[in-house]
Amino acid sequence: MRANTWLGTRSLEVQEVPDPKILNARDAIVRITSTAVCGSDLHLYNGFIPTMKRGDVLGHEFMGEVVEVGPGVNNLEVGDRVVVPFPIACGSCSQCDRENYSLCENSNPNAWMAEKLWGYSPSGIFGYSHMLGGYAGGQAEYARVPFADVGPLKVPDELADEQVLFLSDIFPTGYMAAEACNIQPGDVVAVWGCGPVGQFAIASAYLLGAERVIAIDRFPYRLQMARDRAGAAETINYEEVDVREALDSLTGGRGPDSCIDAVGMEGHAPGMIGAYDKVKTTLMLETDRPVALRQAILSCRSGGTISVAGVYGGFIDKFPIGAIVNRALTIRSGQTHVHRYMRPLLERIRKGQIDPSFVITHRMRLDDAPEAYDIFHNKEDECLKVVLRP
Amino acid sequence: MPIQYEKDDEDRTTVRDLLIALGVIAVAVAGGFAIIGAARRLRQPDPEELTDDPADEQAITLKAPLEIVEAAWVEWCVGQETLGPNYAVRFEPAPGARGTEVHVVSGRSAGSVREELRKFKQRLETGEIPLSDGPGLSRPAQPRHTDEVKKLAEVPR
Repeated sequence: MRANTWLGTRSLEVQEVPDPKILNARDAIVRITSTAVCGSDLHLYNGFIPTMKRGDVLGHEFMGEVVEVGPGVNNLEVGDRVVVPFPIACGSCSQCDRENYSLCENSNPNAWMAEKLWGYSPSGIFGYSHMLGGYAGGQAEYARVPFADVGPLKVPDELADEQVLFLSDIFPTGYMAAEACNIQPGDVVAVWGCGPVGQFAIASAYLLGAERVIAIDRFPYRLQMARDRAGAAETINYEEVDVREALDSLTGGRGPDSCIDAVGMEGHAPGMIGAYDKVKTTLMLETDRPVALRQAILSCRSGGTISVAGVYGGFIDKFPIGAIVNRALTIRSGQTHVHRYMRPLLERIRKGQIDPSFVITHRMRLDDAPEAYDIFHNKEDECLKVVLRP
Repeated sequence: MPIQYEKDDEDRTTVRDLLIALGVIAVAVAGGFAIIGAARRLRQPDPEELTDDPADEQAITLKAPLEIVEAAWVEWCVGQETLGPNYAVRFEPAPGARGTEVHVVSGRSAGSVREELRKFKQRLETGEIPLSDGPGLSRPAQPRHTDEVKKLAEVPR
């Protein structure tokens, strides 16, 4: 089959690899009909995530048709149309019992690697390094889906791929970020980063009752989408105005009740602080550039919540712990427990409360995946979300 | 009134910046070594070196009652070689209905004992030991060739 493979930092190739096989009784094989490039795939592309190996198949947002099931899968049949959640979860451990599916205790065969870096291991993830399982990803014609009796969600035929594909990751991720804010009547929510997760965080904050959402980015086309499609009340271009001053003014001197970091480890900032983090990451003195996170912490109202949806992988510097302690801020985070949100969010889509396809800016062939990564990484052609079709 | 900068201030600022830069470089070198050291620890354990490194107690919690875990352990250990012939195992109920704790002391390395306990937990809780498409760092995360799948299928567990 054809698959998009990682060859090294900013080096990808779509090449022939062996077709996936059933390896465990609870596996299924899915013929992929749509797959997408995630912002967190760029962290792999840019070499920020350790334990990648030349030839690894990328991709953790995908859907398709079941073509084979293992003997332990009783709830799927060949021909079922399914969306696959990006974390792999066994459905039977203590964390799965608590619906903390991205913390599944059994799905990462290489848990020992993650334990070295993070203390304990989270779940395995499709196409996201050997440290997170070494599972082949979904930017391919076929994928093996472990614990297929737990993860894949059957979707109705009346909904197009583009309406349900993002149930695999970014819609639940934005939703969980907003849910973590425990939004109360009158709340103002600020969202750093107007990429796809940021757009869904904005839309979800309104679905959950936010009074106003303020969106922060530097690309006018992304800010425009935040206003026109996701519904942000105000937008801030951080290259044009001081974010903290603007937020202070927009919230009557209180600060936003909740701040969502939808940026993650490759944050960008103008001026000295941006240069500082660039130097530190270049010298391997820190692994991530937490510019949005720092700003979110310092901007949040006292007693407010910081919700971190952006992916961080390692260690950061100049973390304002003093602000967190002395102003009683709460930080919530986590890889998304996608399984928990797929069904309720599918219902919202069916009821017409949201059509997630609004984030798509590019539709390309799987064979064009390297070009897709390049334009997404460089924000060319007003790229926000690429959907690939094998 | 606009702030007036004087030349002496600029000179002092330049010296200070230089000192800061030197400090950053020194810390950078130390930090680089630290991160390289951490990266080395991520390599796969070598079975040869493990046998000479007696481990402390390793433990894992399984979501099952004590009697079921004990019975499963007896079955699991038939023919196992990872823990060696001389190991001690202790079962304790975990607090708050969290299942059963399994504590093992073995002469073998902490890493290999921990992996064995993890596989035991996977088998008991999920019915299988999930396989990666590319185990460890030795091969890419891509689908296996048919002959490898056949070989895997012949492995007893």
